[in-house]
Amino acid sequence: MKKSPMQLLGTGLYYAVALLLAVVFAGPFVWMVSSSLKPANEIFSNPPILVSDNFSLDNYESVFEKAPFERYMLNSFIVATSVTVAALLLHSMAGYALARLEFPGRRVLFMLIISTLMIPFYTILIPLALLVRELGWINTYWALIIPAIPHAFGIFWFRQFFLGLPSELEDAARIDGASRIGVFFRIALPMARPVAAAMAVFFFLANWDAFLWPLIATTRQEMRVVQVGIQSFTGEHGNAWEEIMAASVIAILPTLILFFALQRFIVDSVKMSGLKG
Amino acid sequence: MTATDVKQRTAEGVEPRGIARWFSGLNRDKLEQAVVGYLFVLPDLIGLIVFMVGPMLMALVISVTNWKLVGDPQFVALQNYEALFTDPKFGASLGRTFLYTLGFVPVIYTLSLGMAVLLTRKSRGNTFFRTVYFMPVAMSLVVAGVIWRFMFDPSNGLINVILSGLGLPTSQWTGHVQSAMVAVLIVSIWKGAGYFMIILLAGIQDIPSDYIEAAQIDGANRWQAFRHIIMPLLKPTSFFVLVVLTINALQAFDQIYVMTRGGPAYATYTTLMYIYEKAFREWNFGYAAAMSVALFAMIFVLTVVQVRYFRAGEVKA
Amino acid sequence: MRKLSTLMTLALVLSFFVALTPAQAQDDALTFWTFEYAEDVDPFFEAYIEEWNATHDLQVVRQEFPWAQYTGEILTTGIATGEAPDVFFISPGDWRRYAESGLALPLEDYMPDYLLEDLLPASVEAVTLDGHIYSVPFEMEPVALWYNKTMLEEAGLELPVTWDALLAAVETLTTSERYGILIPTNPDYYENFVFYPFLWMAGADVVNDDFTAAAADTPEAARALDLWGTLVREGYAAPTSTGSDPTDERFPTGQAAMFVSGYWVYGWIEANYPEFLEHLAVAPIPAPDEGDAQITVYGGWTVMVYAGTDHPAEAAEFAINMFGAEDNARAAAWGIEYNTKLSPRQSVVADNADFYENFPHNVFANDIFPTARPEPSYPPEIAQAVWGGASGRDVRRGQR
Repeated sequence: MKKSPMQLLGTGLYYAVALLLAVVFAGPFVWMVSSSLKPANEIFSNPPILVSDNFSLDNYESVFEKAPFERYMLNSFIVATSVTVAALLLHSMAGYALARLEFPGRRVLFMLIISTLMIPFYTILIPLALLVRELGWINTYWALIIPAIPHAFGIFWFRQFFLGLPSELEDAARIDGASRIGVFFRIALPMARPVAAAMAVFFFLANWDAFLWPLIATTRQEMRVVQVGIQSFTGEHGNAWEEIMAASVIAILPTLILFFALQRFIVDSVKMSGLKG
Repeated sequence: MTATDVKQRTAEGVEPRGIARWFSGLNRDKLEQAVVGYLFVLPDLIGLIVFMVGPMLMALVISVTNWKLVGDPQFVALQNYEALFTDPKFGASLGRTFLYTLGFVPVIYTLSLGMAVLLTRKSRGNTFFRTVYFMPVAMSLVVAGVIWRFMFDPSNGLINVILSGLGLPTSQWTGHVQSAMVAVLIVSIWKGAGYFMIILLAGIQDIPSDYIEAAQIDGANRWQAFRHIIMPLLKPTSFFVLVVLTINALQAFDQIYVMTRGGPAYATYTTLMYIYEKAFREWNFGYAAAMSVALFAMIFVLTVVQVRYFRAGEVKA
Repeated sequence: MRKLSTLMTLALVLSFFVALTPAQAQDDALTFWTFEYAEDVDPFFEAYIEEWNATHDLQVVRQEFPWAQYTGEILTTGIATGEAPDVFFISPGDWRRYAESGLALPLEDYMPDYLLEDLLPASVEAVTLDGHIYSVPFEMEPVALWYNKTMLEEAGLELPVTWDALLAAVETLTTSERYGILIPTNPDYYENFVFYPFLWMAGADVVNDDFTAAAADTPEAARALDLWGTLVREGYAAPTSTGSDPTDERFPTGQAAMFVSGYWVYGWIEANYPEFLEHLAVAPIPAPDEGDAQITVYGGWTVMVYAGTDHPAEAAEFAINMFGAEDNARAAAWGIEYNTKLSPRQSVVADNADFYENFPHNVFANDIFPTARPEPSYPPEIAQAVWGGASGRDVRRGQR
């Protein structure tokens, strides 16, 4: 296929813009990876050293030597996965109900749910800590998982998605006699795959990166999560940047891998062939 | 297209008001919708009430006391709220928070939308670019903070080196009251754009490609397709993104704290920083709770305005 | 997608099994909280706790928390939820609030006489309020002027001893790629801490003796503020920080010639920038004018006992003995082996004379420390007012 000059120009422009943005977005990431391989005294040198003769995996080794980092990762993984699975199910149901089903009080409920997004976490930190302590959940996975599941963000997003989705298929299934619950699980939910995939990444990310709440809800080292582990390399007079960088590279990988694996679902267009508006 | 509009209108706009009207036309389908609807919403609702609304109500109670962590709190009625009106630090922090929001929301929305549109097509190159744009989202804030502070260093920082290399004026960035806000905005936008790009990308996938193809057959160019097909149909997602962005911006704390700790000379000191300081450093929990409630009320009003605006826009579309 | 969901289900099931296993029942024990120390400091605590646990029925459990959240979120929430530790480290910045609110157990009745005689009077006074000793001092970290002697030599400069000389020196030392001096930039307790010596040497103070009025609003205070303002305004001092204010990486990487910071800088450079040691030198912070007294500040955490503890006697014994045992070996090891800090126990310097003959410990022990005052503990509102002004950038804005 030959391209016209205009198309070529368009393609060129596209790559120019995309690459320029890529440099800005990936630059700090490259700097982080490079720093994680360098001895401490080269991280802030001027001019910056991108590729050092002293590259080694020492910092990675010391991350695991100085802290039970694999345990932190297991904890974070358990928490992030559990929350993500539960959140996807509950929020898709709630979002669908708010978008598609008519019932009294729906609009009030929707505003109530959105309004929980407006609560600054610092405001409820102490009440929440009191509550979780009363429940006897301090230093358990319950404390890390259960309060993290209900989240207006997921409900809101699913609602908006279903609002924007043409409802012909669901209407057809209804006419064929399917129940409301059946329509949701068999017709609507499969069509929500792009959003569900994106939301899986976001919920995993949010809980994998959770810091303040796990810090408060756990006091034992064996219950610590990854971000608290990274923070433990900061100190009274300064920070062990070389170890922070290495730990951060390790910590970023699961999310990036998950994103990479799921992004083909995110950009998978909703199959609506045969339907015309 | 018409079908979608009608659907949206019934979902958002013309809704039976009040329980009485619901009962008047009660039938089996309505009952099923109500039962399934509540069944679907309930698990999340209970969780939100227990873990968010309950604690927030407790904060509301604290806001009318003088609780200072130690000793019994005393009821002080609205004293904390009255004090807010005459507290210049609170007013100034609100001003900066709104300034930050004004700088943040439009820019990051436009940028993420542009990135989403740029990378809509399925291709190997796009997969790569999407992953790259998502990287800052996954990066830890501590690390992002130190790298940007290093790059913003007025004398040897990469950014000033590049600017002066190009013959452009340099800046003190986070080191000066007049540029610090710009610097923290740059970092916040850099950190978040990939996130909202994904949301908008998923929203664009939601639009059946038939519509766009049909428009192109009718002779619409890309811009016209974007303007007249994608934008209107993306409205539910755009609404979501703008509401979430606004709420996030009005609660800005972490990303600014790692860059400047609110400095220099309070140039980037947001309301949430003030709340944090009053609560966790001064143990003045009553006053901190009152500020939280006030901030909550302002965000609520803004969100209602956004909801109204989008609903009004939908009817016109 | 199916594989992934199977995997996720598996993980979910696994997680619930793990979650269901009950947390180990917490026996009656003394809890001891500190912020997170570097890995190589931990053996200090481990050894002491092991020794304690071997000789006492009431066992001690130590828990450590990230530095940045330790006094803010962690201790505050612990007190609010009734999970406060029995014994904990407290910063000078927070000390007063704890002492005034009755959260700290008065320790004077538990303090042995030998210890009260050994401790520097100023260090005891700094933890005393209304006649009660509310915590045990165990470390002192004075602030000084670190400098790169190679850079000063190359510029043909003498070590500045007055503020005018300091300004002249940093002007010469500042280039397009190098700051003349580094001072803290983050508006926080640490900035105040480093600013106090300048304020005091100018003849000013933050508040008057009974904390009733701000004494900072004087010509003397303005002079100190103006010095910091000038340093930043003229571009001699970096207006931003990079890694952290107390250990600014730009100093040992040649991007700054001088650095106002504490005794710990030596340990940090020794560990991370050994090649820089040959350029490193330290001196007292210059005084405003020739003949003015040099004054500096020393910081250092203290160990406090929670007033609500179930075991006041044991908790006090544990807290006091950590650094105050009759044998000062542990107190000495804390500052010499595990950290670069001075001990408030006078016997430590006397018993380790060899160590304190070497650079830079000699400079700190002989020249800098005798001029040091303990970091004062102000209510948060006053502390905020100081760092609001100390940035010097406030001053700059005011002058426009």
